[in-house]
Amino acid sequence: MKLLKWLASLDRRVIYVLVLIVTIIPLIWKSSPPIEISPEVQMAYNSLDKVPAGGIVMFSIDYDGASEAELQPMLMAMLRHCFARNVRVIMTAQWPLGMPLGQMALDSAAAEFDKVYGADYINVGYRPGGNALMVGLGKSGFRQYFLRDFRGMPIDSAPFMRTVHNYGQIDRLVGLEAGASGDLWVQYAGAQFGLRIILGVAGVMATSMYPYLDAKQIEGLVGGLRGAAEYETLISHPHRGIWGMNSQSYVHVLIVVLVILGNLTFYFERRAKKKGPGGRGQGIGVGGQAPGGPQTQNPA
Amino acid sequence: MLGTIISTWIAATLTIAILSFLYKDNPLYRFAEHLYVGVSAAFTVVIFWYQDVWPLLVGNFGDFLRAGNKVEAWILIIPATLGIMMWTRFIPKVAWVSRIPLGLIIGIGAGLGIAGTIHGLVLPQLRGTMLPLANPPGELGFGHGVLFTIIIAVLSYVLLFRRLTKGNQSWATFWSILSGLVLYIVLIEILKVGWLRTALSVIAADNLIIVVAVIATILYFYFSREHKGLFGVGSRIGIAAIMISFGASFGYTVMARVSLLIGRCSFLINDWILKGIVAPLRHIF
Repeated sequence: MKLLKWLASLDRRVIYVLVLIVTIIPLIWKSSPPIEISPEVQMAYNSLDKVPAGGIVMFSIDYDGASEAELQPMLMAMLRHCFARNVRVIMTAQWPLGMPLGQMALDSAAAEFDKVYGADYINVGYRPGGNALMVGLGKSGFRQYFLRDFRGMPIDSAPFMRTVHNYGQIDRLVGLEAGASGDLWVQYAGAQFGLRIILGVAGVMATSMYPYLDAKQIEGLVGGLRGAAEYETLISHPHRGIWGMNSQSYVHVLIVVLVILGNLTFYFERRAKKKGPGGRGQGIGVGGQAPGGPQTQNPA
Repeated sequence: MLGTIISTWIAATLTIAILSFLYKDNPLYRFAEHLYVGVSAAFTVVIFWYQDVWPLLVGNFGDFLRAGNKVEAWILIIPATLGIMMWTRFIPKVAWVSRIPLGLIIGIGAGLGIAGTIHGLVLPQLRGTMLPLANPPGELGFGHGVLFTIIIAVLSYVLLFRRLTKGNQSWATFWSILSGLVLYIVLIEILKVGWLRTALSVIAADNLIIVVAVIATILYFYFSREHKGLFGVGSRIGIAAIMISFGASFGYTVMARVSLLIGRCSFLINDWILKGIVAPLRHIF
């Protein structure tokens, strides 16, 4: 009971420190735990793998710094996959703050594979408009919306862009999503123009994307840092996704243990209260309250 | 190199400042928070100006005029005017003018939304829910286990445990689910009863679960009739389906939040300590 009393009055900051320790220690070792590939990530990999060399994949960076930890490793892994297969990349962004994150990833991945800006990839930058833009790209064509890239270079100065007029020349769209843009891509570009879509999404919204996968509206789904780790495993390039998995696993174990302890504490506290004040079991004083707590006092 | 080190130090300091809120609210945290909001807003404005307003309006106007496309050039006056009309919100006397571009945005949004939602969401999802409920005999999957457990649990609850536990719902539910699980493990996984496995595999269990869960969830949101009797049972199954969905979302959310912490810790260890402190020190000494 003493242990439970101590647990019940435990300062929340102790839990923060525990989580921090459990997170940091595995990161220092950078080990690669065994990763089991889920069917949805395998589908995403297979779909991107079927794009022929010289084909075009469009990436939409629809996130910002708040989801960088989950989606940037995913973007890096998919860019590496594309560049390794000599697939050309067009990058755009539906979120203004996503554009620089996308460019950072492009620069980094392109340097690894000696890819040249303009010849192998291009960043056409951010455009507002959401669903109107997506429908417009399919109907009116790229040049109504993107005459220049994010640096002001005419997009037609990139030879492969001269053949791109609408979604018909895009082999896949990879939407990296931390908000509603993924739904828009599926509902407008996918459903109305037949654009083949792969989604990489932040963990918070992964479950809401499964209906699209089941209805075959998307060709693959990569969810959260776990999805990024699976994709890194598939391309045999361990990086931030895989390195984070040990921390993720240990923190999950810690959370489960804390949830069990919390419930046990709550259960015994409630049982002690039921036995009544003055009896063997007084309340164990959750949150630093006096044993019995205010509930046992007569309001009159 | 020096620029990278300085920017890494600034980012690390701000990360620690934000995390310091976990200890308690403090001026350093508030400074970092305000800086984040301010810089994000400023950066967004800059991106809007240089990526969109300038090239799409001013740049295109000049390009079209030079190319002799006078109509296309002058038509840009319309979006520019609509954009300026939005700013009238700051002048109370003429604030009503901003309703015109807002109305246009809402109208376009609604028009696109109706078509998009029907073609892109309602019809494909309806198609995705119209699933075959029978299979040719084959392998058993996770869904078959769930289905078998649910069937046994429901039967044993109604016929046995409700009476044995004298109406204690919690214990009756617990024992009925346990009995379903135990029977599945014993009959299907250990004894591998052939006819039972074949009979079970004929049912498209995953599809059946999806169809029942969808119908039950819709029943739950039907409020024009009291949730009693068979309708009540369907509605309760609907609640269970919604709760399972919320549980999965919550699990993913926990994972996502831990991922964000991992991202920051990874930055502090790799980019700041190793590359921003240890590497320069090694370079110097």
